[in-house]
Amino acid sequence: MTYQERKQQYKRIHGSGGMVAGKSAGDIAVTCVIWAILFIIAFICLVPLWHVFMASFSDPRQIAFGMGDSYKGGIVWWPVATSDGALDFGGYEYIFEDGSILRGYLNTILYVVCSVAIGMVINITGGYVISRKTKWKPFLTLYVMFTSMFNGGLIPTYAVVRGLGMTDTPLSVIIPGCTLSFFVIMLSNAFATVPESTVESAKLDGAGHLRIMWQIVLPQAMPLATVVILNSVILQWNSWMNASIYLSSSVSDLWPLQLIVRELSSRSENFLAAGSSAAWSLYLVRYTVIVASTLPMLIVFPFFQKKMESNVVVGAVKG
Amino acid sequence: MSNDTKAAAAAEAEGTAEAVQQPKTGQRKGDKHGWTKDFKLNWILYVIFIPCAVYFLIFNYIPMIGVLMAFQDVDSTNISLFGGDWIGWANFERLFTTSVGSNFWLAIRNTVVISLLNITIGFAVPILLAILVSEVRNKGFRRFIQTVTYMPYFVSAVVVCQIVKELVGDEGVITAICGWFGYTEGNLLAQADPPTFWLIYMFTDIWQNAGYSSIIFVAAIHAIDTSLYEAAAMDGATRWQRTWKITIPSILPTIVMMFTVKMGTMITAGFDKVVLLYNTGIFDVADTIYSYTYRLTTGQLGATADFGLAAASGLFQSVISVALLLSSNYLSRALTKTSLF
Repeated sequence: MTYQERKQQYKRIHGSGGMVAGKSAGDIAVTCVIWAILFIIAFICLVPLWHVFMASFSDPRQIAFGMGDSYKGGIVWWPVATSDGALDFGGYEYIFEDGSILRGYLNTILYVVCSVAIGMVINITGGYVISRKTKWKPFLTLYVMFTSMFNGGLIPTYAVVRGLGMTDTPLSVIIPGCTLSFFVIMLSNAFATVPESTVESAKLDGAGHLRIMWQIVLPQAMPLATVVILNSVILQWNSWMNASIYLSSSVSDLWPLQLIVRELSSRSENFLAAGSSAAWSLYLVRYTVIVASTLPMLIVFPFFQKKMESNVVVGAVKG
Repeated sequence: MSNDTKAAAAAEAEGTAEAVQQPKTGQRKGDKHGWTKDFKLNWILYVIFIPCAVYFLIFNYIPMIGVLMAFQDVDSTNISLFGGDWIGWANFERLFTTSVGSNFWLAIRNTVVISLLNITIGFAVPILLAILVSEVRNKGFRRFIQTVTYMPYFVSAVVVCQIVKELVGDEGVITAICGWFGYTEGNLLAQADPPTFWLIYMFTDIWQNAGYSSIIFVAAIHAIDTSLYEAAAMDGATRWQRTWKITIPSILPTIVMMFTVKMGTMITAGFDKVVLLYNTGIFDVADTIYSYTYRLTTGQLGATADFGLAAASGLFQSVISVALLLSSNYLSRALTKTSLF
């Protein structure tokens, strides 16, 4: 019997819909177990975020000790109302009156835009040159790749950044770490797959390297370039390490969002410990600051996900 | 401009020549013309490369030379790359003998333990997730699971650690659950007995990254020829057998590739979360080489800035990470015939 014949036979016996599916009771049980496990996983992924979101406008006194009338500890499934039945938006009021979070947002947006722009110029020019057939190609590749193998570590990098006079200025967050050798190599691999004939015909039409790079090669490599851009945006948006090393607390108005989050959270954490006289809404700040800093990212997330998922495989295959 | 045209013309001639000769002399193309000719032909390219070259020179290569600071008496108040007095291995001697809130040997131990957890359990979870996800035939549900598990990747490390602190704090949910099983009540991040912090860190990492890491495995499973499964089903293979005998062998190359990548970066990646999570009380179990260096660099978290020590521990970490990268590369070459370098 050929494969097709056996397939037909199988279809006759088992029905056409479920070639691999199978319909036995055991299979259904396995499916149920898989669905159950995945539901639990999804639950674990979502619940912490939900908890924080709900707690952010609950009654801080009940949340703090888990001993309220309507809240006895555990996950905050629904907002816990205060004794007079209202929700407490004091946490949000606090962070917006404080203003640092808005400044953090502006700083982060500025840093992300500048750093990704500079990074992409480096990635595209570097990637383009590496992708061309030159005698120096192996050396240039090694020059870039080697940086991912060995790095000087925090202190020598700090010394360089400081030596350039960048510490305590926005440049220290924008320029160091604006790209990774991996991104350059990824783009150069994408450029290398552009058909040589396209490039040649552009050359015949008198296009120079810059024009070929921007108008011929880059548009064709756009899917991967987008992945690189999105990855850089996420890296920069979420980064805090460089800022915490290079921007001292004397220039806290230059801090990016993530450092502000850290600062406001620790202020909120000290609230109970120090027995401070601040209003209870300060306790809620630990939640509201998370909501305020994370919600925008999660709103654009579906777009990022779509772009990145469709290309992560391409990148992996080519890279 | 004229040079540009000349180069373009030359390139064009080169291209035609190549097109004609490639089948025969593809191998010997390199020595057909010399370095001078290559430079005349491609000098514009080398000019275009300057931004990239300068960036990596300043922020990667000069700091590499800067590792020599580990052998110098570095002034912690007025740091400069060159100019300290040479003091040999004194910084390293101090590194292994003094204690800065915790001791360096413990930091090494913690780094090793956390890395091992990360590369075993932390590596297996995304693969299991991918296999489970691809067993789901309902497209909507599959999409839902992928989206939801992918989402934490977009939450920043600062926020993730803040949420973890909340969940394992005095009144936290996880603390309460551990309480049911008879574990100590109270803030889990204050427990200085070994496995607690390591497990918290591991789960934090998995929570944040498992969905993202599983994408590549889902794609690999998706690429498997479905007729394999059909044939196996016809021959009476159970679902378990199909997974074990078809899915896993088929994605093995991807698994090996990702494993070697992960192994190469395991000592450098993600340790900023340690800095965000821990506190002075649990340095003995939580400090890693990375966080140790961070504390000595910034003078935060119970340390005073000591650049000599920080340079030494930074160099220590770099050397280990190079060793890991080279061995993972060797492993990759041996197992899959492909390698990064």
